[in-house]
Amino acid sequence: MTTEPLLSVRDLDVLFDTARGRVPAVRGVSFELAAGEVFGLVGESGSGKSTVLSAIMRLLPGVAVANASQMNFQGSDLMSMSAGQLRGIRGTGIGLIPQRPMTSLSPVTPLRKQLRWFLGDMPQSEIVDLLDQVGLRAVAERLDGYPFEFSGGQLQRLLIMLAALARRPSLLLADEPTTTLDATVQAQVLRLILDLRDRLGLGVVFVSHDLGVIAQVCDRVGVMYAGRLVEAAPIGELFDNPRHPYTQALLRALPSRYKRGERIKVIEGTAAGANRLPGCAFAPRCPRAEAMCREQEPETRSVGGALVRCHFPEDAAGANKPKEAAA
Amino acid sequence: MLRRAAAMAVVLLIVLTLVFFLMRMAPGSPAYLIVGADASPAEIASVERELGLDKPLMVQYATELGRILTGDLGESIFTGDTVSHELMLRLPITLELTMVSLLFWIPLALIAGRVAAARRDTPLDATVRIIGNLSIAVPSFWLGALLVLLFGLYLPGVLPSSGWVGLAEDPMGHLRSLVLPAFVLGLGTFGVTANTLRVSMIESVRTDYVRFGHAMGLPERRINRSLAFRNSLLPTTAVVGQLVGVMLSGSVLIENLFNLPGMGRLLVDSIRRQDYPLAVGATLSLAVFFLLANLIVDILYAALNPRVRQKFAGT
Ligand SMILES: Nc1ncnc2c1ncn2[C@@H]1O[C@H](COP(=O)(O)OP(=O)(O)OP(=O)(O)O)[C@@H](O)[C@H]1O
Ligand code: SF4
Ligand SMILES: [Mg+2]
Repeated sequence: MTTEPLLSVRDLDVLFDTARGRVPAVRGVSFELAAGEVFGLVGESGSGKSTVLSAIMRLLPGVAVANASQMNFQGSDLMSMSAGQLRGIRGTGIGLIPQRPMTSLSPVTPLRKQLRWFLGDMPQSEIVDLLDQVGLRAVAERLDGYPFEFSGGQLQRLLIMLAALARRPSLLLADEPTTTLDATVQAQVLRLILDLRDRLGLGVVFVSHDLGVIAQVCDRVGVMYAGRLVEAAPIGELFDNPRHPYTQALLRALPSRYKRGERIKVIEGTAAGANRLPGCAFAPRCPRAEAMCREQEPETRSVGGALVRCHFPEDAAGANKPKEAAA
Repeated sequence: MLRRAAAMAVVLLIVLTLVFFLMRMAPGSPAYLIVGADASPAEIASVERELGLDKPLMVQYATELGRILTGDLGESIFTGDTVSHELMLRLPITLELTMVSLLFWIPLALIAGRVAAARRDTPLDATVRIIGNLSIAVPSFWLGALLVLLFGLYLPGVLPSSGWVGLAEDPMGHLRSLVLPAFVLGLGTFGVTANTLRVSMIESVRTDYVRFGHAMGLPERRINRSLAFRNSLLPTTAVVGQLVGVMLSGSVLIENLFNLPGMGRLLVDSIRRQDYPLAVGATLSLAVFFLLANLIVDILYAALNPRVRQKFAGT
């Protein structure tokens, strides 16, 4: 492809300066997103998915330190933008569907007024139409209510409406946008997002712990573990031919133990503290780990159609297995 | 609401009981007020009999309680007027002093706290913080005494430093006589209120709704005013509610310092003179005043907080 990607992130590092020292939350994450493409991000809780989205939005809390060798949106460098330039891009250029719908609107102001802040003087009929598109026709009559009077699912759809539909951004960062929705509404919302992609060439970074949803909407998927993007591949490639031991474990657990809406936590052991270790962060839980895994951090390498961060990525034939495992 | 009224009644009963017994545990007798300090024991005894002070303590307590429950606060031993008449003369002065002080300091504190938060870590913010902390740290008796001295002795005629002018007599003079006491009385509330608002607004940066506001590209002013400030009014109102109580006890000191004939003065005078009925009446009405102030603040809080508002409406 000769055209410039919609979003390109290279070597993104985010540290949190906490009382217990500097905690790395995101390490060396790189990916690109073309217009009209949906890129999924999966990984267990705390693996850094939301932090990646906040970093792109330049909305990290004050205690965070972010660095990237490149973070371009439509060719302009997000890292070097002024507050005013960012304000011009947020909402209209990049939309963010936040992870926690229940607390993402002000609790003390009626919805109608908050919609005015976000939508300006959009005519009521248009607002009703937008609400209708996310299945919130009924809510249109209750706009004098406060956020706490609505269900999580209703608020989530409202936020999707605001972030994705109303302002027509070219990049949508969706942080678990359908967790609180039941299956029918979820399907409706996903169709809506895909429709925007088809009609307007919307690019989407879609964070989810629901591999079923990921399989439905994404073109490519990135798997995160302890702040690192351990594997990124086209959706079919990833499901058919996972190469990183962590991805393999995730998928192995799928048919038997995976249920919709359940958090990803399928592998023995825990990721806690893993991002402080030298070498590969997955080594303590990895069935394929070797001595060098504990000493040397693997670089990202290209294997088939995938980018894998592992010393011993497994290709389709099962070659490249450590000798011990084969014996 | 009913539960709250019951709680208020219990507080008042406890206050009444405490004042009643504490006053009578102190040495001396209100009889001296009537017959003079050099009266003979026989004279004292006869006056005490007249006032019913010779009866057993529990009998006196029961009589007093019964009388107050019918709404009769009795008569002042010192002036002979009814206690309610005395209170009616004094109550408006304390009420006005407190109100004027609040109306002066709270808006100022809200503006200062908000500006400081919006201009965080600038010299302006530092100035607000220093002034705020000074206003909390300065002891009001010291500042009050200083101002009395300054305006009474060195700058006579600029502002009255002592006494009270009725509104009807001289409206301008009335306001002028309020300036210094109202200034000192509420000074500390400025710092506490401004700090609370500032910290709360700064912390609101971490809330999901401020983050979403930024994510939608809302202008800074909108985020400051409608999200950060509006939500920070809740903790700030709660703090102001506490401060009103502090100001009421502060008025005792301020009224005595600036020689204002309000409730604080009445309280001190009646206790010093062992004017039992007046002291009980004054304490009770200060307590009622305090409880009502809290009620008003809670209603205000509910008005600002839709969740609480619905609970109020529901019960
Ligand atoms: N404000 C913060 N201060 C300190 N550490 C933080 C902060 N925010 C996030 N972290 C840490 O950064 C890491 C990544 O968090 P993040 O929220 O990005 O994870 P996530 O993948 O989105 O998880 P989840 O699936 O639970 O949403 C975690 O270890 C978390 O503890
Ligand atoms: S680098 Fe080693 S420890 Fe890490 S995932 Fe690959 S094989 Fe496992
Ligand atoms: Mg998250």
